Amino acid sequence: MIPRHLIIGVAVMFVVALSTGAYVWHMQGSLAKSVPDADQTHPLPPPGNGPSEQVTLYVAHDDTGSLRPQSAQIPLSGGRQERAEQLVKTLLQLYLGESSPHPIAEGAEVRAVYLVDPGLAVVDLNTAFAEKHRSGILVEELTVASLVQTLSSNIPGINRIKFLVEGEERESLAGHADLSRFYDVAGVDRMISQMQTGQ
Amino acid sequence: MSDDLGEKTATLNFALRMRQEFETHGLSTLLVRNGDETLTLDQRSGIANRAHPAIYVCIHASSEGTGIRLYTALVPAAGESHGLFIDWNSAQAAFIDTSQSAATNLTAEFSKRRIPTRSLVAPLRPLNNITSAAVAIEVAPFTGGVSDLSSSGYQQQIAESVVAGILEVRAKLVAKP
Repeated sequence: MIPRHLIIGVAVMFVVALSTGAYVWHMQGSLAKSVPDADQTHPLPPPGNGPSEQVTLYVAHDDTGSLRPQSAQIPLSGGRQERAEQLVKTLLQLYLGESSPHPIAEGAEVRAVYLVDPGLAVVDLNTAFAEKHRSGILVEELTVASLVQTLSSNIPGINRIKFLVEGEERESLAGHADLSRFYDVAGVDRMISQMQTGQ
Repeated sequence: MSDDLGEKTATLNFALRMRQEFETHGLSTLLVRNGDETLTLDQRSGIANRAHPAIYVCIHASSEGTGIRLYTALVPAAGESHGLFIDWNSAQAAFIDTSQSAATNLTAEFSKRRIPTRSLVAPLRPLNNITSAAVAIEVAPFTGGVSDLSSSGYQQQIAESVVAGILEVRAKLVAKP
């Protein structure tokens, strides 16, 4: 004969197993309700949710082969690094637009900007930025000069800029502009002034 | 550049035309590449530096814009050089004045032939690594059509301008800095 305490023990365990199953089933249902469908998600707000500030973007123009300063009112966060990222992303949006004065291929992104003391900014581009960039000395130097000048003019203290692609060093942007070096802001100023005046 | 004409083909055609023009004037030339070869930037500068040329002319082609963009090096701040061992990234520094003189003469020759020319500086490799006078020429179409780049007339005009400009500054080029 089965002892009575064993029957009670098995019965209790059976009840506990049933209740646990019911609880897990209930939790799965709640979780499914809390995850929205992919097509119901909303895009993240654009970077920079601070107060709007006036900045000067140095925009490359292919028609004249030069840079032109252009004022823009953009929301900027407080940190220098975030501000640097917001600036280059705003510049890139302009180049990706329909009436771009210096078209850059779809999919091009600036992954991050790191500010490294003293005075060094590291700009990390994605693969599409480099791989799909139009090839040529002037067209590539315009892109580099525009990024360098926009960053150094709006973020005080930057005097050198290094470009990486997907976090790694690359020999050139699209076969011409040298990415193996550090771009000295004073040198780029000289390059830009020649672009503005070169006959 | 275009589906029909790649930059490698266009630049080789210009280079061959220039070589012919140089040789007509009794000047010997060395082409860094004679065919469809792929060389690294260091290989290019190595070949050029070993030859000790009077001038290194780097030819590029582009479908963007019009005319000629003539570049001299924007040399970075000089690194450490020890005797015969020159800092690789700023090797051009000692020759930059001669390079600029050559560029001025080339600009004048292009202008004589009414080819629109812009004179610029850029941090270009292998220009920065060359231990002689060095210029880069980016050739764009004359009127806007990429087919100009394969026109023998346009190629000839450019070759003549380059050779005339270099002959003009020859004495300076041969003198060591």
